[in-house]
Amino acid sequence: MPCGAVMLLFAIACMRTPVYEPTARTASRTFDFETGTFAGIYTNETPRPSAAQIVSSPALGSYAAKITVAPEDVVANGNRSELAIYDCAPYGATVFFRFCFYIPVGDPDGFQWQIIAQLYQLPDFQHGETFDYWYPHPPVTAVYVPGYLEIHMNVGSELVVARTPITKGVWYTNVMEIYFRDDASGYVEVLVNGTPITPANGGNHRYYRATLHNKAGCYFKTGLYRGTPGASATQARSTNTIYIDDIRIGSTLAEVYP
Amino acid sequence: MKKRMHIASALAALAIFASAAFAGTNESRDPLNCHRIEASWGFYRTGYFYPISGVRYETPALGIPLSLSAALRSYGSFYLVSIRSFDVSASVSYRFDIIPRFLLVTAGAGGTVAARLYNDTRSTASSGFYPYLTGGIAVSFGWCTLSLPVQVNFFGDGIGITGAPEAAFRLDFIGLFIRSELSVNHVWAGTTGLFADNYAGIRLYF
Repeated sequence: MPCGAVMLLFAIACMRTPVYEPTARTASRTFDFETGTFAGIYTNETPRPSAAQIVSSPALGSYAAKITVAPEDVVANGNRSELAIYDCAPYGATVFFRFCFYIPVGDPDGFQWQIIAQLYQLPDFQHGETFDYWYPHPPVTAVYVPGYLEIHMNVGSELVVARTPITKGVWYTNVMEIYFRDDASGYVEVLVNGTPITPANGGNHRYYRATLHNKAGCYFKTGLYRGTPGASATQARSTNTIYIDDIRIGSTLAEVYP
Repeated sequence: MKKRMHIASALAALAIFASAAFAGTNESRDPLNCHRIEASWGFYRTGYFYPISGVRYETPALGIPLSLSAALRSYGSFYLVSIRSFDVSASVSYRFDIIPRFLLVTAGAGGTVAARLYNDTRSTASSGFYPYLTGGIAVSFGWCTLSLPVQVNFFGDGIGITGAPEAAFRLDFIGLFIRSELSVNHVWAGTTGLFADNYAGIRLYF
């Protein structure tokens, strides 16, 4: 094959190589609702305007987000009401996610579990995938079961890697450090109010396991998600509320905590 | 219920495909040199299931030792067609019949238009075209054909090589096949990525 012909083949190609470049960092950002808006946050995964409101109490500053979900609320085939932040969890990056949450006193326990934050896997767009028929479990989830917060890692199979008691009517500050990899070098370390809840491994509290199904990365969601409506006995039967405040995302712990 | 509907629709698509393509006769066919039309369904990657479906047609030698092929691959669909994310490919191959009806070597070229029309803020995909050179070897034992096509893809910022070992089992005009597509893609800037798809499908020979 003459060299010129090969050069011609490269010259007429107008498609990028389907490879994901690893990224070391993510942009530092804060969402504290102090402007009284959801600026910078996507609310398209909430079922109605009243399901995601800015309120002044309870709040860590002047305002917080109040997220509500009812059993009949369905968005994208799920019983959910969630806020979403895109472009924050690329392949190869270590990212710190901080969010503060408050479960009100008297909030009913008519559910088996509620995901209150998750890293949602993106389809491998470069290899043709879309959100059509997209079913992989979110790689990392913070799950509220009545009285407890659990951290689940779901690549391969679902595994509960941490569990800590939660009291209603109290603000909690949750920091999740995640190294986004699709192999066993990925890890999660979680602090609640500054105390690690993931198990100690001798040197730190990182739990090593794949944190991506593919190299397309994730995006961050927080709010309430309770599964597929009507699917089984696990269907939530109560209307529930959670308050979210002071979301911070960064590449170092100092960017998000204290 | 939704899953059953998907399966029923896929079977219906397969039946339509088979009835439309069937032009069988009782003569003994050379599986290396006849019209071949196939439908395939992919299990995307090994880590999770993602539906991919496709159709492909390949001609026998066209008087001169050249054959043509055309393919449509649809992503996120069981039904062979997607209007949101699909690839259209065409190629021409020169045939070297080393041992007629038994051993075939091919060399050719083609191109793929990758249409990424899915409209979503989160999507990083973009449509494009890439040419490729292709070559391969196939051995036929009549009822079973083993083949190893290799494709060199030329991208705007890198290069890729795909090998697709396949085993096809034929009973007269119809057969089944399994195929793995193993790719190594390299961006000139330095990153190399590995990728694997696995497919199974049905092929008609006529």
